[in-house]
Amino acid sequence: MYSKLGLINLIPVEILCDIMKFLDRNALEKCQLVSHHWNIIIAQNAFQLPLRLLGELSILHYFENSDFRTYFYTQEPSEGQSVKLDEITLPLIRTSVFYKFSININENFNKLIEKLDEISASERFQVPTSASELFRVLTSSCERFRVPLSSSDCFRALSSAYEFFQAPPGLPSA
Amino acid sequence: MATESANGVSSPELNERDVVITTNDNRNFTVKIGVARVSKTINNMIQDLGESLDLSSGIPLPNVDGPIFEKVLEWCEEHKNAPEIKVEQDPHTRERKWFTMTEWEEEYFRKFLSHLWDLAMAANYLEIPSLYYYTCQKLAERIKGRTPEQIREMFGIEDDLTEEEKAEIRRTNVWCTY
Repeated sequence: MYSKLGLINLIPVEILCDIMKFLDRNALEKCQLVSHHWNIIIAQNAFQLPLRLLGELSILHYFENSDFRTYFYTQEPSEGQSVKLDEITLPLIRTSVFYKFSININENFNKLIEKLDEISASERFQVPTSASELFRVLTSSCERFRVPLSSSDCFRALSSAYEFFQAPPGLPSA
Repeated sequence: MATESANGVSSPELNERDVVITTNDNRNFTVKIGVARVSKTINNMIQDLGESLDLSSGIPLPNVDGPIFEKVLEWCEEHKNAPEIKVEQDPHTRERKWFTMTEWEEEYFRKFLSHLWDLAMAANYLEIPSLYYYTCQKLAERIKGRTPEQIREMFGIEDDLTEEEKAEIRRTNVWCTY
């Protein structure tokens, strides 16, 4: 038994990867904390190991690490399926807002609403809830984290969110 | 000593013939060819050797020891007529789909729970996809839902990360909740 002999580090990386492919991203992150060896294996093989669901993103954290794209993806809606705002759009926008800008925002949210309407109207993603609802959630989130947003920052953040839709993070760009 | 050659490698009669397999601790196993060729590695050897295969003097397996090979053979016997397994993954998350195991297979892994790593290594070397991937799944099952401390304890892994390194990993894993 390898564990008793302390020989587990001799297990080929190939086998460890094949085991890790059965795990989800949450379990993998715990594996990274197991040992130096495991952390390196996961970091080096991140491109073939499972990714994180974008819907799992949380506003409680924000990105400092530009490699975050490796760790999640957006799910393409299958035909006839509408994407719920909460699952995809909202975390994406939060992500963009909090990641891209360390932010100075306060007024003129009309443009923000306009931009949201644009996203709602895009043929690729049917956004089922109203733009004003998203707006409310977004602003209350900003309030909660005491992040003042300027209108132009909102605008840029949403543009970049929209760009993300064009090239979903985590998927190879053509 | 009678020397038999393996003519017509794919014939059903050949599957009923015996072949001797020698593990690295010099143990000889007499195995039906139909069972032995569940291992692609052994099957390739049989095919490559073709007519020159000496069924009685045996096939050497320098990377597998007797006790483990015995367990592997148990699997091969049960799976000699099983179809190839299909390894599938979620196209979005790349997460592998979990196999559904039969009662026999579940029991097999219960019995050899403390030998999963050895089984994975042997199945990898012997190229037995069913045993290999199922064992990997079993190991994943043991990892899943456990904390880093529990995983270390279970597998006897030394905690060689500094607190700074752990903090850094946690920081990069921005959603981590532990």
